[in-house]
Amino acid sequence: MALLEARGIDVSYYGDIIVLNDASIFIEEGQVTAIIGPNGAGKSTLLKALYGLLKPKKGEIFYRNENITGARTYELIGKGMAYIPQARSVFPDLTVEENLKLGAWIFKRDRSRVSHALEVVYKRFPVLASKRNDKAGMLSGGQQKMLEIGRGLITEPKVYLLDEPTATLAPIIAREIYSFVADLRDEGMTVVLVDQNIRQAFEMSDYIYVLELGTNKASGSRKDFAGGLKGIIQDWLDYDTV
Amino acid sequence: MIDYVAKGRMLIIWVVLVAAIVYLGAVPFLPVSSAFIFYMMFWITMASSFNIIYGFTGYLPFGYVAFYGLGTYVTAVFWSRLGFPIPAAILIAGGAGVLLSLIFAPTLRLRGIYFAIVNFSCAMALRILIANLPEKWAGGSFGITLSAAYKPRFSYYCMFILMIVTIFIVWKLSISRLGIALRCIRDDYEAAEAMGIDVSMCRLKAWMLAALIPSIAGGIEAWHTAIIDPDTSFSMMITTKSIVYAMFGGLGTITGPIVGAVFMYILDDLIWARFPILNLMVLGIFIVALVLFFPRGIVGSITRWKPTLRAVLA
Ligand SMILES: Nc1ncnc2c1ncn2[C@@H]1O[C@H](COP(=O)(O)OP(=O)(O)OP(=O)(O)O)[C@@H](O)[C@H]1O
Ligand SMILES: [Mg+2]
Repeated sequence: MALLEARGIDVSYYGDIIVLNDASIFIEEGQVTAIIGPNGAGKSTLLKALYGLLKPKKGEIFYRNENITGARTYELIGKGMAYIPQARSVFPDLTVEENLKLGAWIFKRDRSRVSHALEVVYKRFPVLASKRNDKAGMLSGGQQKMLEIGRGLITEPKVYLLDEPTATLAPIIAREIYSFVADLRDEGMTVVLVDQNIRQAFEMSDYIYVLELGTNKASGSRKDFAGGLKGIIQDWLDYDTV
Repeated sequence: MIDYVAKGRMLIIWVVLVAAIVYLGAVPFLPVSSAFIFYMMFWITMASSFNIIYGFTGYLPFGYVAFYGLGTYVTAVFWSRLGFPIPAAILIAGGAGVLLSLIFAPTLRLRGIYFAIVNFSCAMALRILIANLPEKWAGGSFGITLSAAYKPRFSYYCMFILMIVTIFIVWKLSISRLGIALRCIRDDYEAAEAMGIDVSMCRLKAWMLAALIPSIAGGIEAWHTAIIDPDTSFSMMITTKSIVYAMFGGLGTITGPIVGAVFMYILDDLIWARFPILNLMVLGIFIVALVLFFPRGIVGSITRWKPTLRAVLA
C-alpha cells in the first residue's frame, strides 16, 4: 500500500506558469524513495505540494488512501508528515530549544507533550541538548541541519520529506546525515529524499523517481536502474555540469 | 540566590507605571493642559497599534490613516445623523474599522513596498469616497460638528482607557502564541509555514487588531475635538507620525512606541513653538538624524547596548 501518493498533479507558483505538469509519485511505506533530476526540474515543488505548502491545480494527493488534496500543512503534520525545506529553515535568533518548540507548534499549549517530545529529541541528538540555550544561528552548518531534522522528528512523523539535506555540508558531515537517514529507515520511517548527489541517493533508496521539466521521466527500483542509469540521466547530467 | 538587581528593576518599573497611570488619571483635575496630555495618549495609542502591524508582521501600511479617518466619520455620522449615543457610535466605529480591514485583507498578499503603495491608494480612495458622499450624510468638505456632544473629561478618560488597553494588548500579544507566530512569519515565513503555522490567518488577525485600535482612537478624538472634516480625518500626518513615533522608540518592543511617542510628541511641540515657520523642516532634519544614528530606535538601541535591560524594556 502506498503511504503517500500524488496522481497527475499540476502545480504552479503564480498564475498560469505550470511548474509541475502531470507529475505522479507513489511512496511505499517503510521505504526510502528518492527524487532526482536536474536543477529546476520541480523536485522541491513536488515536496512542497505533498506537504500542503502549494495546492495542486489539477490531480490528487492521497495519504493512507485518504484524499488530502488541498489539505493545510498543519493538518498534514498532525497526520504524520514532516518536512525539511531546501533552504535553511532554522530561526537563527531563537535558541535551539525555542526552535525545537516551534517544531511542536501543532501541539498547541500541551506542555507535557512538548517537553516529552523535547526529551526524546535531546536523547537522540546529545549535541542539541548541550546547546539547548544557544542561539541556533551560532551552530555549525551540520548542527543546524541536525536541529532541522530533530525539529521535524518532534511530532513523531510517519513520513519524512527531506529536500537536499546534505547540499551545503562538508562530505564528512554529509555522511553523518546519510547514516542518520538510514537509521530512521531501519526504524521503519518512510523517507522521501530529494538529492543532487545521485550516487548517494541511489545507495540510500529503495525506489527512485527521475523528474525532468516538471514531469516524470523515469522511475524504478534500484535494480531497474542498475544498468540503464547512465543513459537516463546522462543528458541532464551534462547540462547540469556546464 | 535572589537577583536583587532584577527585582529592583522590576520595582522601579512598577513604581513608574503606577505613578504614570495615577498622574494621567488625575490630569483633568490638575492645572495642566489636558488637551496636550490627551494627544500624547492618542499618539501613544496610535504608535503602539501601528507597532502591531509593522513591528510584528513587517507590513508597512502607508494608508494607516484610513482606519483612524473611518473611525472619526462613523462616530460622527452615527451620533449626528442616526442619533446613537457617543459611546455606542465609537464602538460601531471600531467594528467599521475591522470591517474595512477585511475589505483590505486581499492586499496582504502583496509584500514590501507594493503593499505600502496599494494601502496608501486605498486610504486615498476612502477619503475621496467620504468627501463626495451627499452633504446630508457625511457633511461634504465642511465636515460634521459634534459640539453638542462635547464632554472633554469623558473623552479624555476614554482615550486614557484605550491607551491602557492598547498597551495591554501589545504586551499580551508579545508573549502569546500569536505574537510568537507573527515574529517567526516576519523573519522567515516559509519556515514558519513549514512548522504548521497558519501564516495567512495570523497575518489577518494582526491586521484586524491593528485596524480596530486606530478606528476607536479616531472616534474618541472626533468626540474630543468636536469637529471633523475630510482633510484632517485623512491627513497624511496621521500615518507619518504613527510611523515615525513608533520607529523612533523602537519597533517590535512594547515600550518603544510609548517612549517614541512621548519624546517625539514633546519635541514636536517644542519645535512648533520655537520655529513657527520652519517647524516641519526642523522636525524632518531631526527624524533623518535619528534614523541615521538610532536605526533600531531608542529602546532598540538601548537593549542592544545593554541586553540585560531587554527583560525590562521589551
Ligand atoms: N518560489 C518560487 N516562485 C516562483 N517560481 C519558482 C519558485 N520556486 C521555484 N520556482 C520555479 O519552479 C521551477 C522548479 O523549481 P524547483 O525548486 O522545484 O526545482 P528543483 O528541482 O528543486 O531544483 P534545484 O535542484 O535547483 O533545487 C523552476 O523553474 C523555478 O524557477
Ligand atoms: Mg530544489
